[in-house]
Amino acid sequence: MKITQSRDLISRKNRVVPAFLVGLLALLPLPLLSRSAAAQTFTELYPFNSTGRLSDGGTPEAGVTRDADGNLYGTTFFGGAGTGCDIYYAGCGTVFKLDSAGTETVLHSFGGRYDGWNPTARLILDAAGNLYGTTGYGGAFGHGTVFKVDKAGNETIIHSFAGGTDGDRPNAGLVQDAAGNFYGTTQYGGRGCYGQGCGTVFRIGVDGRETVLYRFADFPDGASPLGGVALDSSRNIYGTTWLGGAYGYGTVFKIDMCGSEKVLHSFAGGGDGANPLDAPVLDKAGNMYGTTAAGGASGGSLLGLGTLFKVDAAGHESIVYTFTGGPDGANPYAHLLVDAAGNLYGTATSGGVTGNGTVFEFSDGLLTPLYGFSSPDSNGENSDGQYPMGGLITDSAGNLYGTTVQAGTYGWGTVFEVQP
Amino acid sequence: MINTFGVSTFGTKRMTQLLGARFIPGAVLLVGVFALSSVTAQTLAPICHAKMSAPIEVVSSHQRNEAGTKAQPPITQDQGFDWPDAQISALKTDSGYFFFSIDAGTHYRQLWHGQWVGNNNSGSVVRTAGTLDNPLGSAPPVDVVIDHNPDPKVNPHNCDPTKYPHNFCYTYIGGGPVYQVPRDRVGAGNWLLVYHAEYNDPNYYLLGLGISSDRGEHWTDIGEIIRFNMPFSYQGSPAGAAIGDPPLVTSPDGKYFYIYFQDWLKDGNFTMASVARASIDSVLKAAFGGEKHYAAPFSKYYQGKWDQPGIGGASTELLPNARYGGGLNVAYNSYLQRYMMLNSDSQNYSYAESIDGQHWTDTVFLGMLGYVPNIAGYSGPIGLGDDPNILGKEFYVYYTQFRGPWPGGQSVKRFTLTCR
Repeated sequence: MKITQSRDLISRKNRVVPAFLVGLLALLPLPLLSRSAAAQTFTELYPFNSTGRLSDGGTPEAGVTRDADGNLYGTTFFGGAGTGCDIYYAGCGTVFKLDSAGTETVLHSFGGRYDGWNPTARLILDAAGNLYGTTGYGGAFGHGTVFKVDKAGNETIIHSFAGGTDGDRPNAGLVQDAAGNFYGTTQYGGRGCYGQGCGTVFRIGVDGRETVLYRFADFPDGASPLGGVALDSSRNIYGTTWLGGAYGYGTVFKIDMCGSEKVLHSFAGGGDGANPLDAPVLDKAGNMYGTTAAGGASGGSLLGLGTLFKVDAAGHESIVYTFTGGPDGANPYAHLLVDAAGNLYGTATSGGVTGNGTVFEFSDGLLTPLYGFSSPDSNGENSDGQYPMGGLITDSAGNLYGTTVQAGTYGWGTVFEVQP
Repeated sequence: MINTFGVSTFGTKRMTQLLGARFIPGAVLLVGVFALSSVTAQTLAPICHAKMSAPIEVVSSHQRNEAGTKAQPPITQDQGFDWPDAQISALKTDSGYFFFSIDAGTHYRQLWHGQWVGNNNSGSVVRTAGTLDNPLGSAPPVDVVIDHNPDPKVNPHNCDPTKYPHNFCYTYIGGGPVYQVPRDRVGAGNWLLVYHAEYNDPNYYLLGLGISSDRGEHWTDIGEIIRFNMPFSYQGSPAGAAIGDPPLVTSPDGKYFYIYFQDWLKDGNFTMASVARASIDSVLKAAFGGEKHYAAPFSKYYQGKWDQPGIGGASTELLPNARYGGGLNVAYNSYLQRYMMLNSDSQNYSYAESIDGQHWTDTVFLGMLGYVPNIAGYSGPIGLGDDPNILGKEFYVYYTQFRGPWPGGQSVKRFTLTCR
């Protein structure tokens, strides 16, 4: 179903509108916020549960990956044909393919004794068409896996996390360097945090062997990384932690090629952000951009609805946008997409006109809501989806692709496209 | 009570509000802020300087589902073990702890061991025996309903909803925090419980008391104690506030039970925290002192006086600067020599402190622990000393981690809060 909306531009904090009025924006009628009326088109590319009983998957949290032929790939937390998982609801999750004709195929259904379960991470694709990802649950030791699924849908467990000093609960996606090594994080495992472990950063070598590069220690170090990592050309690793840091609201960290970690920024709450849930992205100039799910409040309060932050090449952090909960959205969970011109694209999981999340563009200090998701009906269904938790990807034409975890035509989330 | 955000397109389609929490989208949140901004700011400063650990899982969804298969009396509805649908509270025993919370499922009337049990209604009182690291334990959970009082005049609304006109009976009743009557008091050794009850068309919430003389094998309703200032109306709007299922808290002078809740006011606004009280002597005498067992009346605190009836009276906002509410849980902290109030809207967690239980610090933001739709509800603090209802320098906070359609993937997590 195609839906067309006009776009609204909203200034970044303090640029046009005084800070004390920012909150009021949420209460203003929409026309007062509009700066232009360029239209964009939204398309629900695929609604999950189309086949009934979630056999095609359900609850896609991570967004999608696209190949050169225009096929989209992703994971779903529930659904598929697998059984035996800890968090069971009509299947243990899937790896799916959505071709350009809109036909969805389940490449792999998770489940079973040694397989991973319930994936939440985005996939990455190699030149041969193999998909790589993580599951936070399952595996040989029950602490999650790194897996590979080939074009034919054959799955291989590359690594099963052992817990303890090894990682535990790899929730986030992987990144791959030029040599073919994979990098990622685990929420738990490592050291500290009352025996549960404060999380790790790991590397999987081309030989499939896993190495823990860093174990977080909590205050003043970070704890519980929920997002993946980003790599620069010097093989430095950048990421965020959900918790920990000097103020307990999470960190931005850097790990150099020698394995030495440095907290670049501890989020302080209040006007600063709090609780980042995904990895930052790097632009050509070496600036890092990311989201915090909370923080960014004005008026001295320690509560906010989330921010966009920047850490420059010198390691200085600044908040470039504070979400208001109005048409711009609230609580951005996912990583940002940066295009060649330096424009940022992302999702806010809640907020927007109906409170069900938005797709936005941020450029030249202005945030433009590109799409606001609609409210589901009493069956939890609508025509576009609800709560985009994952990030966006783009194609050569500038179209944006993502997922929503709930609602859609059959109530179990969607894959969507926005043409800005 | 069921997950606000959980959506199902097959199986159950029930969706009601988290009884202890409410996520407030941006626009709604701001309306609440402005409505409350005229109240005088508090001057008391917090002294805890809390450090929050990364959460750990203490009951997996698999363990919860397994325990449900052993529950006594047996669960009679299809969804399984809908636990914990309220904050977990505890009493210490010689060998460990009893933990209490609610199974939200419908408890159909059934003949079990020669006795009729169940009430054809949703909700119950679940008693488990375990440890702080495993509150579910290994013994079968005792999962019983709150029986109606032998005197029908005490509470005619605790009745079988299949036998009375629409919405005359509650559609949910369960509890809750348990107070063990001390040796030197009327009713010594008996248990007193706060229950949460609901009507669901439209949603409306209230609090009452139950008693047990056999350590939670049976519970008897002794009547309502708190209703919103806004009366229930079949034609009215759903309640804007979450009344929760709060514990009874002993006042500084030891003479009163205080109980904290969100109130829905007649002007349509709601408070983030209100308080009511009744003398402990009157409550225990009414509950246990005679042949009839009933609830002594509570009085709400309003504009400096305790003169408003607990059933429908007006109340004063205790947290005028708070920006979200629900899930209130107050306990005395012997290390701080202050009361602490845990507060969450199922996403954001905070606390406040008070010396007298009436005047509170501004809330201190702890972090964003749940993210829609994977919300974190029903936070409850448990002390590590002899009395788990008394907190110390370090204590645990348990909560329900929602994941997917209720109750399939729900687990129980815990974090440690340390006052530095």
